[in-house]
Amino acid sequence: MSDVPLAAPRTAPRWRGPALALAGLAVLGLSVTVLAGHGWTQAALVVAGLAGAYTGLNAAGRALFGDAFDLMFWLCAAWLAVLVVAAVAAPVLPLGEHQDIVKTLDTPGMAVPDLSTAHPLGTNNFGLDLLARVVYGARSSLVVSLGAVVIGMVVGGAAGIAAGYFRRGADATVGVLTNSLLAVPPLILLIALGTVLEPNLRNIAVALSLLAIPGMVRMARASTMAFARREFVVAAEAMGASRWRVMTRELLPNVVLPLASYGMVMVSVLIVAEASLSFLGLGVQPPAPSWGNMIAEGQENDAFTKYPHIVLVPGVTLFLTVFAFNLIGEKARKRWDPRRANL
Amino acid sequence: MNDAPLLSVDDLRTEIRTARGPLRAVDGVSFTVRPGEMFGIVGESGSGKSVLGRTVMGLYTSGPAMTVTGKVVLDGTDVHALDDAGRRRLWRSRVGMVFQDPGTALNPVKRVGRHLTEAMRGLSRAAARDRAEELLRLVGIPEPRRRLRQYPHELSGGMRQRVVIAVALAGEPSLLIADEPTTALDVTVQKQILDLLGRLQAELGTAIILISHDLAVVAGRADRVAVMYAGRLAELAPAGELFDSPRHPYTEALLASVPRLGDPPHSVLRTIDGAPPDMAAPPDGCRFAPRCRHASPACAAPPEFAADGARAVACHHPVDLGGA
Amino acid sequence: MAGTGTTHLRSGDRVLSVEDLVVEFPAGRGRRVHAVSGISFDLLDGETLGILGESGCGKSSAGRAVMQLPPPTAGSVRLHGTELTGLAPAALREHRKDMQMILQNPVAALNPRRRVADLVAEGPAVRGGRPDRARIEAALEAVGLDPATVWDRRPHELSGGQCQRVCIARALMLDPRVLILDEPVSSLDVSVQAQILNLLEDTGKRLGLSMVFIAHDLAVVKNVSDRIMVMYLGKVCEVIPSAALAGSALHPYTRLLLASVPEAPQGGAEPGAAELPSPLDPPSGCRFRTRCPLATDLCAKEEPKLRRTADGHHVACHHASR
Repeated sequence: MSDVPLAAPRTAPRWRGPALALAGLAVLGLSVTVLAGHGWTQAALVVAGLAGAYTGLNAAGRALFGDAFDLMFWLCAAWLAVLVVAAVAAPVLPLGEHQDIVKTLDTPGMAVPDLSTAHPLGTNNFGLDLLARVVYGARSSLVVSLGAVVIGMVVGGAAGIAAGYFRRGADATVGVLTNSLLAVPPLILLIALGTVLEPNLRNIAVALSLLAIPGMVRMARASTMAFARREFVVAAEAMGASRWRVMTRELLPNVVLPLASYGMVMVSVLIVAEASLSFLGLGVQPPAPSWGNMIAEGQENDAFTKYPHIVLVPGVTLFLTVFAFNLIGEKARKRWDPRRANL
Repeated sequence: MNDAPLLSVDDLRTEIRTARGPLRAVDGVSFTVRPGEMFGIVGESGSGKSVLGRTVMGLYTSGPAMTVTGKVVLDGTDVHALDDAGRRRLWRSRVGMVFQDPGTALNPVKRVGRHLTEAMRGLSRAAARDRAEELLRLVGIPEPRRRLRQYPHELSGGMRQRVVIAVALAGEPSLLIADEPTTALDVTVQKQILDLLGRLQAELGTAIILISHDLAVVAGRADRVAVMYAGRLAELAPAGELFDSPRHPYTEALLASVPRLGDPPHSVLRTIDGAPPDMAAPPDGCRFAPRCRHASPACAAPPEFAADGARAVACHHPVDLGGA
Repeated sequence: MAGTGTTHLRSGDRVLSVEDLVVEFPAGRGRRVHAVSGISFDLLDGETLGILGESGCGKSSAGRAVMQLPPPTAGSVRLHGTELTGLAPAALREHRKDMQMILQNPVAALNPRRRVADLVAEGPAVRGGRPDRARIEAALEAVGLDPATVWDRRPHELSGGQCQRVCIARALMLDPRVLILDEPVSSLDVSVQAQILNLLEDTGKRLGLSMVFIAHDLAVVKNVSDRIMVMYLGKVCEVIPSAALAGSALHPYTRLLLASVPEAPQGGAEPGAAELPSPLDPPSGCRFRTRCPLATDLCAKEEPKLRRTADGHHVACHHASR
């Protein structure tokens, strides 16, 4: 009799998930095609269709892959994968013109997004294709933020491990440097650097890495201290391992995972930071696209009020990307949190 | 034996849901505890003894994380038929729990006095403070008035465990469940705490369920002892008889694997081959059979927990009856 | 000692000799924890010394100080006649190879990200060599593990007992002469504890190892040791042949420990309920006097020195006598 209540959730009708998903997708399809132009009705049905499809697919996924299945995670991963592939393959993709204004003299400016035209996401005031700009913008945004995170992980991770393992002098020195870096308001620091440095991708990445380093140091230091107390470090020392060996072979492999998951969260912060820099005109310089300066175009001549898609296209892309990085990073952090790593 | 039982546990099962499937932590356990009795539960880690204690207490109930079936009746109240409020009332007045780690059982930002007075109801502040002082004196804490104003971290491990016991006693419970109350403590302190529990049992007539992995801890104190293996009771007997003449091969092997002070140095210890079963997929039949030296084909069927006078054993080939 | 003294040290073929070992840690605000305050002991070839004491008595600090992890505040540790204290890191690593350590929590003592084969090969790998597969397999078999099953496992896929076996195999890969075992079975279940104790006993005998066995459980220490040293608050109380522990222990603290063992007959003198004094500010004279039934003024003034009471039996107490 004890087996019955446990077995119940598993025997829920298997067809319910997929059916709900199909129904949701159908509503979504209808609302986009047939009901086009019905304003609020359409919007409400789109939301209802999305929610239905999501719940249904999630249920179907759980039935197929077990209770640990998380559809949101896979959607985020898929979004990031599509984004990265598109950004890498941008030159060979059949995209419109993204930055050469001369080539788009005869293209209509401020075209509204329409999936059936050559400019599915519309064009900006120079007639540049927004889809192409978003994809090329992803290149700079991702290169800059990922680059900054990698620099932060290497520099901050090394400093943090050294501080956490040696303690005393090394810890105090690293602590003072980290606190000084944190004491400067980040935007002011970036503006100062932006005025001094040439605004190319490398310099922007280096500047942004200054935002990532203090967090990385703290993260690495905290997990190093948690692991350095563990007996396997003492065991390695007892076997005659040098300090270098302890740091690289025993501590680093354990510290790198929480650091990497924190890095995922950090990427999202830096994408926003890069966008703000570009918005302020200190980042990637127009006409070369970045999500930040694309959003900034919305403020020229009050374009946003008349043509909201100018801002909405890069804005939604930015939102989705940051959301995806955050969610995946958070999930990874939970999995590798040093406080829970009592394996 | 004529007393009506204070606690009766009938075919209790606790299944914990995990990613790997249901874990049958407690799998059909029945026993009774008489008023004023010290009842020992012994088992190794993973045997389900702590889950059993918490399920009996009503801390574990059916919900999204686990399923509890069977019956726990304390003083005429079916613990698992109560709602949340009813269960809290039960904990406040009828049953107290003492946990393994006195370091984490007390809230570090609350003073000792507040831990105690919070567990009381319907008393004026002054009366509650007097009662708290009395409780501390009862559990053998010197200078109780001063201790009331201290924080848990200002006390030693042994003192903290005394405070935890005092808190558990605040509602004058008829049953105290002590889950590994001395495991985190030193031997000399362990003896003090066990002596204290014995004294409370004798002076207040509180029934105590003493859960431990340490046979010796239970041996000298409990009236009756249940040995738990892989979620089931292997054997239940009066303490003296259990340790002098174990009937279940597991009890026998466990007793033989503990080094004794009386044995000469370097004596070889008896070991139990293999490892306890995976509780997500336990063997059919007798859970101990794969490790048992007396195992036979008959052990493929689950043995009945057969009572014989004051003793009961779940084994097809009990020791001393020529089972092998 | 709750006192000091060296009468129990022997001459002759000593593998390890420790004299006047002192371990202190800064405790903030200028105070110091007196973890170990001048203990001495020695270890003959093939002998097992048990160090017995409750938590906070300094037994683990002593074990680690012998390993120079970290080096002691003062005192001498000689392994095969080589003074280990004050050696340069590289020389220390080389000389300390003969002495290996087994720790209390076997799961935590293994790097969670490595596999068993790498873990066992760690010792030689630290020295720049990669042992061949046959040698690792032999080491695993010697501790009762099936190499084929555990080879690619990570620590969390093994039970506590299996992890402790891996730790023992790892230590034995370096062919040590001395094993320092710090509570090696206290986190294990009773039945597993018996397996590991038997394994240590067999291995020690087979390889002729000398062992220092640190634990709080009297019966366990008695089972594995030839000689037992009882510690209290950083001092030695009594050094006693293992066989004599239950019958002829003299020091009041050893007797308190014996009376506290749950299997001991109940009743009798209620042991002193007094608290363990703080190692930040230990009592003057004999450190056990605050809990001792025999304490007199002399105990507060003068620290008792170890004195010989029988062959191999030494007591640091002013009043204990047979």
